[in-house]
Amino acid sequence: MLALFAASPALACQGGPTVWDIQLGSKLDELPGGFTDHACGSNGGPPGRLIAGFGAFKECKPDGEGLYEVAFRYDDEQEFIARALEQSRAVALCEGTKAFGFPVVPSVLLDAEGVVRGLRLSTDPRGIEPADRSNDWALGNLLKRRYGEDGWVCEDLPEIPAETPVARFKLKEACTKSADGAELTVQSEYYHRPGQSFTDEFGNVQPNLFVSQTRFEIKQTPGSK
Amino acid sequence: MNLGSYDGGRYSGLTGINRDNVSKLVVRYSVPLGGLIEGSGNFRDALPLSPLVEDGFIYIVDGWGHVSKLDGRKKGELVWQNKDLQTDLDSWLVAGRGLALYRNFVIVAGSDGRIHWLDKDTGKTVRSVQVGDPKQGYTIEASPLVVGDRIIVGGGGAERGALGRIDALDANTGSPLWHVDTLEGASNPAGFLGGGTISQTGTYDPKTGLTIWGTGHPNPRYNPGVRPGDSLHANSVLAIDTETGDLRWHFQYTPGDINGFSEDGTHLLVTPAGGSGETVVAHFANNGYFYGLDGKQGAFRVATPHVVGLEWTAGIDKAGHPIEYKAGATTQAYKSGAWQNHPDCPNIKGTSSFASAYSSRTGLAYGSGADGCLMENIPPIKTESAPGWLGAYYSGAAADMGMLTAVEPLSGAVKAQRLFDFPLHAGALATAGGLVFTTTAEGRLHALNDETLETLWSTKFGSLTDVPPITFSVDGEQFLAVVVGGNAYTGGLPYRPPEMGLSEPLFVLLVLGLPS
Repeated sequence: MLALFAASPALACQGGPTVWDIQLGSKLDELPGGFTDHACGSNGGPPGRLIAGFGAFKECKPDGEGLYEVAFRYDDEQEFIARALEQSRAVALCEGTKAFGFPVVPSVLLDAEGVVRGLRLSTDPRGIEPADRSNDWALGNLLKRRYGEDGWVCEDLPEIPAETPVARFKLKEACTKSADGAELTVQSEYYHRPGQSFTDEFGNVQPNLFVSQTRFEIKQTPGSK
Repeated sequence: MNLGSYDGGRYSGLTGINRDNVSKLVVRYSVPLGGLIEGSGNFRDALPLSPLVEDGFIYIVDGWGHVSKLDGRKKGELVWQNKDLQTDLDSWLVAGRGLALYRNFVIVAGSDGRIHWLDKDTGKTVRSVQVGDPKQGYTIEASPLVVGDRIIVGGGGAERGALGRIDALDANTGSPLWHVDTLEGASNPAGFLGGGTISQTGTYDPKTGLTIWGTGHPNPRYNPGVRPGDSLHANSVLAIDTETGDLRWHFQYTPGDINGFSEDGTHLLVTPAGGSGETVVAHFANNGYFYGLDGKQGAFRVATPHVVGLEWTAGIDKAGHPIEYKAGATTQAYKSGAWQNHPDCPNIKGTSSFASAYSSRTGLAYGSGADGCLMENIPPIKTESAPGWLGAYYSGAAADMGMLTAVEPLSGAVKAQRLFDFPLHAGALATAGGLVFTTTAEGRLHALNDETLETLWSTKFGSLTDVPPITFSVDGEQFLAVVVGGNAYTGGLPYRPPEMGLSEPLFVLLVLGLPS
């Protein structure tokens, strides 16, 4: 499997498991503990109905490929305590459910036997300032670099009329790559939907009107171990 | 140039405004600039910039990316304004900290990773060159540095995963001359996660031919577990041969940092009195220490705390490393402030990319920042509008207090220190008139005694500012200029006491002088 970086945590709040601790091909009893708020996934969207844990995955509906998506969160109790105490550094260090510093909704894709066949990450726009959300598209670059910059095949996603760039470039692309028995997909988007702009016709600021998101999937190639 | 001179000292030899008459300063004229437009890079932190003055003309890029030339002899009358460069830019990026001048060109950095040449007489865009790829997170925040016929550009964009880089362009053609990646190679986890980016202009030592740049944090800033090792050369100072682009030496302040430090602030080049001694590279580090390094080889000379009460390390050893540092360790055994009694010590919002200053008159370096280590005896914050406001007393209040420190750079001795009621992001300006000027975030300009840092005079403007003042002379008369402008989305201001609550997006250049 792809090499994952691991190191001793600097803080107790950083010692918990992350999505990178989940190996493709793992069985249910091999999944790390320490996650919380397991819920039926919604194809990378907001988590749905809460379930007792990964083992209750069959309470969720399988997708078209027969995979059950279970979303989860990292244990972020220490972050909440730090927020209550207004400890800026502790809030930052105990970053909650993030990947490379970006808030995400992580989920596992399990087959009917409870074997991990895939992982999914989507940037999580809930409760973050638009300034930070504006960076979400950039997670795609980090994920691509993580699995090696070479070999990605990228294509633009279909354009909807009247979409406009946020910046001098419009980003709406999906990149794929095969590596180490897995199929990888990174989809990154940064643009204004039709009708969106940062200022209205009267010059008032509308800072939240833009799309900035990344969606990542890694799925085990059928037949690989 | 952006930092006043190649040594980054932000020091002026002008004495027309001095301790004896500074209390008589009045606003001589003001120039409203900018205006809210779509896609201009103005949503946050768009203000920490410095205008340039040459031959009585003021060149300034405003928070909305407009570049203007003003006539300092005609109360700032507009000569030209270029509004074309940033109208399609990402409003969440910084418009740029300032400009550079080269022959008959004004050199402008765009947040989309382009460098522009503007005709100094007409303001027309003559040439534009793309330096880095904004789709890879690359942006330019720091002012370009012109050395001879080279334009040196430091790349930003850490929050978007950009890989730090420094480029040199031919100032006449825009052709690339050399390129330095600030992060060490692919075997380094930091090399793919990004970081080590630049947000403050570098300096230049004509004696060695080296240009000196500070680099920011590795990515992710607050999670060392996914970037084991030292993350070389993030959080470092790099000395690059201006001619060849060779990296001559480097010094990493906090290898394998776990606390989120970022060392992209000013690196002053200090020449000992008499001018014959070797240059010292001086830096108020985000890790709470003041460092002095040998300017020729980068050898460590001195480090002393400029923030009282540091706990993350027991000290700095003879090699300049934190005492707990172990070469080759995946994670360093530094203390994290998160679980100590001083959770934000040194201040997470403290000295980072703020501009520091060095006065050859006093031989002192001045660094601005915030405290964060104070837990007891916090002075009550006294605002004009709400003397009894209790905002000072929440648990993180000390972290939001501005701090200015004067250090003797050869010994590292702290000679004076001063707290302010509000954040101090502006940096400092030192003058031969015995003064240090700075501004605090609520919009107050302070004139301080350059030896004691006691306030000699201050005045409050009608909006926020975190902009370093500049001083200049026109026809023999000294002026002081400061940009005032609040921005509803300015991220650098951590809290909003009553005096800061009414800020609106605006951008006004105020020019002060003695009564005419």
